[in-house]
Amino acid sequence: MMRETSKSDAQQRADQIRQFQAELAILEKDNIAGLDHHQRMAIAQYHQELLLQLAKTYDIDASKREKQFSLGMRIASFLGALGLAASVFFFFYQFWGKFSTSAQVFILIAAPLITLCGTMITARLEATGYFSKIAGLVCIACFVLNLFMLGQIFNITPSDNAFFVWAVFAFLLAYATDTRLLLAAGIISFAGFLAMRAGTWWGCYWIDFGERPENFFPAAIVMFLVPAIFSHKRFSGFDMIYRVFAMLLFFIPILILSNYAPVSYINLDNDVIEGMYQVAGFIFSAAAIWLGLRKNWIDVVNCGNVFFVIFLYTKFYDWWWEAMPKYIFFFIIGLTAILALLIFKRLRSATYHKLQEVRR
Amino acid sequence: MIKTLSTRTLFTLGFLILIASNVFVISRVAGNRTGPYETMIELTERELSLPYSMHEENSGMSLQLQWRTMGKNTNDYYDNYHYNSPAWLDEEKLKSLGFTIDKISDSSERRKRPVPRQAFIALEYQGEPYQESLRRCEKKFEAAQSALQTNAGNEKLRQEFKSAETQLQSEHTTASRLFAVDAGLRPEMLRKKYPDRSRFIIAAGVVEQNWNYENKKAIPEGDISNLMVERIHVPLEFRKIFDEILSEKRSGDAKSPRYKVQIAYGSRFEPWMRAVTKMPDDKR
Repeated sequence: MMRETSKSDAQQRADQIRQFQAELAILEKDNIAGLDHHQRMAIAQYHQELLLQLAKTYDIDASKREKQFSLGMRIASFLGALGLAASVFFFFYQFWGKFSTSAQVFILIAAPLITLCGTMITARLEATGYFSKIAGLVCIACFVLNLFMLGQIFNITPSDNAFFVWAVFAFLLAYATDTRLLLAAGIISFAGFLAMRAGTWWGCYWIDFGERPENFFPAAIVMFLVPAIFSHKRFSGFDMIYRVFAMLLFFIPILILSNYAPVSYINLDNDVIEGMYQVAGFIFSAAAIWLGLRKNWIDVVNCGNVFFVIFLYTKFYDWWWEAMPKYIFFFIIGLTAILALLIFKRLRSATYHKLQEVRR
Repeated sequence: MIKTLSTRTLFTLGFLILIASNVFVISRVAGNRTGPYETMIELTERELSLPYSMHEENSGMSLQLQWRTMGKNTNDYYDNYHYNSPAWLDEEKLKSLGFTIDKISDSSERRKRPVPRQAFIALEYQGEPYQESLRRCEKKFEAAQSALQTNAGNEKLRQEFKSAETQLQSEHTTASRLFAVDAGLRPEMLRKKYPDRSRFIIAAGVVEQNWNYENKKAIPEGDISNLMVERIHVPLEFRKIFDEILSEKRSGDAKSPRYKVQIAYGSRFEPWMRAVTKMPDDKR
């Protein structure tokens, strides 16, 4: 019976089967343990049927070589998607001035409709998702061009509402085609919209939302909560994308505010604001590492690690860059890294010994 | 909710979004352009300039709205460019636009980067600010001429005279006659104050507050960063005229405007081009 609900689950299961087969071969060769003929045949048949089913449903890589090819296809698909999306923009810019207004409007409206049909057809015909990813990104590019150019042709006052519409469209396509690239496009657009709205609520003109990095915090919180509230088991890696973007939207503003307080909404002395955000940076990045380890979210652990190190080295720079020769400064950076290594090694050993005791 | 929506439903919603957003935009454009005009004004190349260069990979064309502000410094010609603070955009006006002028914020411990705000800007065409700008240039020219006459051999004075002469000529022939004269949060109040729709444009813009340090005192003043729509698209029916103009060779001294453009602003304060007329050589 197939329990897997997404492509990444299916790929993980296939990898697990391969590893099991390799480990069993080593155990049998070293005469540690073995299976009798009946057991071996039953397991082999079960695995063969399961792998066939998984390959048929999710187009997984059944071998190492297939995996290598898949990586190449993913890269080619990504570059192809970006290239074609960019070409749509430049193609239109090259020729639009030669068309009447009616023709321009017709082309701008028809392009995303036609490419949406194309995306739908490729998603239905091709299970791998590589071509539907390309078609989907081209469709989003056409839609962005659609609204952007209508604004130019009719001299429309720019509005942040366009970002909301683009975001919703990108989300729909992402979930329809199970494509992380389109999800990222949707998240970027939606996060931008939320930040612009937050800025507007505080009285700022929406385009200048970047003048106050705190505008990004609501978007960061929303993005972090989405995978926690709505299960994304059916979609490959969607929850990870949400969490990574949430952390970027949260920690980058904190990094900016911990070094440059005049762009904060908080009405206190700049030194106090910078100090507060520096402390917040350390606390939240450590909390991210703890939460990631607890929930087995490797992406959260990695982001937490990266930002903890950035905050730490930023502090070192503030304290010591001017105060000591550069060779001593970088020597201390190196020593800190070695100290961190020793701490992690000790923690790792403690975890290993704990695991050994539990097994006994 | 997400997992209960089928792929077909998601694609259908995608189609609906495409259609709905385009219907919304087109109906908004139609709403702006129907009904009585908010402004109907004829500007020349001085106020609506061609792009500096045509990008070979962009076949579209837009005219750039050129406008200015009248600065406080009566002796500085360059105080009249739009990136300078207009004399009328003082602390009281900034507060009326919603800015909180917190003097404490200016102290070094709590200084904040100001946040721009949206407002409506009233621009006057060929009004008192333009006449004042002309007067300042003429005064400067006369002063430079007089100084040179008393000291003809002085190279610095000669340069200043040439500069003043160029500025005066520019003020008569090429400089924009469109000046920002007021700002407010409610466009209907601005229109009530400036009712002449053939001379006053009410357009959406962005205002920001800065600090000017004079005699060690921090004085709040405002800048109009930009108008929301400063580039006006040239539809295909008018391209021929501009292509002809661009293909004509222009002598170094000939700088008078080559065309007139009739611009309308609709109920949403968004402009469009209604007519373009090439100005004959003797009228330039």
